[in-house]
Amino acid sequence: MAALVCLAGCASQPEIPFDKTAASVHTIGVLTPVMQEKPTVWLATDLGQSFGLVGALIDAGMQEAREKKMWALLVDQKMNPRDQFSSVLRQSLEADGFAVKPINVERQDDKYLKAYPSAAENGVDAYLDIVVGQYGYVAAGIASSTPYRPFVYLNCKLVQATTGAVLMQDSIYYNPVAPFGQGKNVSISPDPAYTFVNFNAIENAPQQGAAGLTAAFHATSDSIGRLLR
Amino acid sequence: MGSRRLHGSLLVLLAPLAGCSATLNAPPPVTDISARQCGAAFDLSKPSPMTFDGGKEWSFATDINEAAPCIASAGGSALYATFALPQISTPYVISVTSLVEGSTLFVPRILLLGADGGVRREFSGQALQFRGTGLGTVLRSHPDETYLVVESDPSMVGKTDSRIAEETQVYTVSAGYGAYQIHTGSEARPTFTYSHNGRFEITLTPLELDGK
Repeated sequence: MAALVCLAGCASQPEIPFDKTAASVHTIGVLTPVMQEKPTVWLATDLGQSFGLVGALIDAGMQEAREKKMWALLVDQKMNPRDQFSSVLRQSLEADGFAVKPINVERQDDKYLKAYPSAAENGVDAYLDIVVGQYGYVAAGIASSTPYRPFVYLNCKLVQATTGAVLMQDSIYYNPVAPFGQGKNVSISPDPAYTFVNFNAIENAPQQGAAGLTAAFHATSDSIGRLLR
Repeated sequence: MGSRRLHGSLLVLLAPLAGCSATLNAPPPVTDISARQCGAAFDLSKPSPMTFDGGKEWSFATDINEAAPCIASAGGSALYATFALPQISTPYVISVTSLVEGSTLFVPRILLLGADGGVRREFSGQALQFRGTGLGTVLRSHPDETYLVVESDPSMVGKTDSRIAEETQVYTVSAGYGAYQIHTGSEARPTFTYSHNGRFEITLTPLELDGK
């Protein structure tokens, strides 16, 4: 069931490479990203998947319980993932030499905006539109050899403010669990420092659990910055 | 009953073996080409053609090995391959991806050259990222560029790296008149050496700017 949710939110897209010689971009308006408030805790395979609907319902219940605990853990650590991601993204883009202007937008759905504000409205050269399909923790299976690790799957698009032309478009997978992230999209190996043999291990190391997500946000944000060099 | 169990077990055993053949045939990493007598400039006399007309995607995979031409530069010697870029009016996307073969990963430096042989653009180091299971980049074509050169990056050759790779598998097991599926996950952390040799893939696709 979680895999189906992920498939809906993590579809990759054709890559459109940025060409800095073709477009002068100094100030980027970063639109409020599409991103769930609470992370997903995804067990990519387990025994329940072999037992049809009953197994799926049991799996869904167990996943919901894990996600509630994960959210409580983050609240306890005073970590708001959406704020954290936006902050880290800003740092990455500024480190790459861009001026960053956060732009608050109301999202009607979990997709890219259909129309972007004018350049004059915000005084930016381009808008960065980000759709975080899923993020959180994932384990490929139930065995200790497949531990929980952070993951972030996102799509991003840079649009020229004056013309609406697409300057860059790509998908980034931090810790892709195949079949995700096997195409030509960016694929980032997870930081081995954040390895949890099971979900209890995350609960027992809450600070580390939150730090793992932050590390994933840093890696994906840095990757976006590299796509714009 | 025993044969049914065997059937399921065979499926489980054979699936990973299919992926092993590429690893078994993988060339060892070449990290030292100091014995080669390398030229001072790229030989652009016989670039491989790219038969992309701006329509359907064009893809080509090739190996670069110790017999490939080499160039000497201040940064060290490098093996290289040359390609003639399609001269078409519409812009397109060039994707160059080096593919892991066993413990060998060709570490590329990608150069776009003008008709005069001068370097117009270069992509290496931080400009490259892993895409899928390969290392490379995507870039837009420029009308003033005639040649694509893919060479090894001597500043990276010899370094080792590893990546955590997770995947899921589904096995169908027959049981009596029916069948059921077993879902499993696995994780591997292969280590590879950045090398002068290895396999890479070039893909040319139309540039779709509608952002769909």
